[in-house]
Amino acid sequence: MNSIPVAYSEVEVLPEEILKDIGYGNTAPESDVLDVINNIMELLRRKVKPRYFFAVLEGYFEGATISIGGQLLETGAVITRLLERSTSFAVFAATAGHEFEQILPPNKTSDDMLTAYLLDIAGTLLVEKVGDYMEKQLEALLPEMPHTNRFSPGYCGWHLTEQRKIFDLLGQNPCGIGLSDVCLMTPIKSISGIIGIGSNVQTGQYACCYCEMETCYKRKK
Amino acid sequence: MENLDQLYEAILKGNRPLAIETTKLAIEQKVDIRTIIDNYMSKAMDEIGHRFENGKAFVPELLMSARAMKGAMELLQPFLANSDVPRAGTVVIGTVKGDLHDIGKNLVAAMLEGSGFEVINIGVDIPSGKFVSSVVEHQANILCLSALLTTTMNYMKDVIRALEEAGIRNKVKIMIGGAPISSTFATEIGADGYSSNANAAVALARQLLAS
Repeated sequence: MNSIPVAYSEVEVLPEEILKDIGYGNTAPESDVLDVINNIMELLRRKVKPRYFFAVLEGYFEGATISIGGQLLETGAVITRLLERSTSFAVFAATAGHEFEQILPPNKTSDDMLTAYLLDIAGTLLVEKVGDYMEKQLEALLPEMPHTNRFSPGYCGWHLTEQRKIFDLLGQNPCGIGLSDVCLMTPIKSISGIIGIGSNVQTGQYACCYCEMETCYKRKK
Repeated sequence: MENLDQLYEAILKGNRPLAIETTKLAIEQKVDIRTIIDNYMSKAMDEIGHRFENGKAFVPELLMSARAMKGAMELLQPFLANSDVPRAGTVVIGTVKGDLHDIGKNLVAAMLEGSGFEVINIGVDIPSGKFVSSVVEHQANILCLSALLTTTMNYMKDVIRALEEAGIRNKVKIMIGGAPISSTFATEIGADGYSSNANAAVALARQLLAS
């Protein structure tokens, strides 16, 4: 299995990051909320085993599509434009891991919904941090070589079903991640996609203004 | 009873043990059930919802209040059957076939429960036939459908078609939600409403049943 473990200390989720994600600004949460968050922090430290994997592959543009490793990725007009001038691509997957799923409350009734909700936020933050960590490893591998942000199927006009091509390129079940027939990744707290690499690529060009998905949960924040 | 304001505060602050304790006391002192619910419990839930809408409370506070409300409501259940308190309604809720996301659905379920609805949460990856049979079995007034993927959201249309084929579409209101969902999509597929968050879902459910 193509998988590289990450020490949790490298990607630790902090209480203030969870609170910020929820929306707390100057408003202080109830002490019960802080207690649950602190319990979650401890659980994450003890249990989770995040992983990532990427493969750097040559690629070239064919009109609005990108050919990588024999796969023709239909990334859509917006992402294809943002990947312009890339000469190679890091195809990646990252996950909070199966161990994360195992710490979720078994019965998400209203009695443990607070824990389930806060863990869900922590899991989202965690997998994004694993993605950030992975990018640092990519930079260490290719020093001085600029790269774009991460782009994933399901966003910005790149259809979710294209995820199958990403998984084909990475070898089945990268990091232990499974892909269902509707392209749902399990563990759910997983990400996959590509990063453009090249001496003249656009860096830092990814924001809601490029995307047409009006109802995206990230846009709402 | 002098301390019923404490029940309001307990639910508003999400203090479940205090909400339960105060409700027990109110029952012992034979306070009118409708007064307990309408003047204290529901008002506390309305207030926390109002604070949420105005950015003064967040999802954790909503959940804690809903949990306190549910704890207090469970004590009142035996008295409700013989009371004149109108029931909020029965809701069947689930995530559609192929999709395993459940946090948003469970938030909505918790808030509806906390607002007095009877909620039957049938889980994730639910085929249309199961939605239909659950609506029939529980005589649901509302069916809530959730999807988080662009590849699964269209299955909501299949569920609505199955309800039509079963001849029960006009007996149940359909609410939908999830990250890729919009009110435009709700209209397109023939749902009765769309909600972007758990608090708004409660308001929408009440509105649909009142219409």
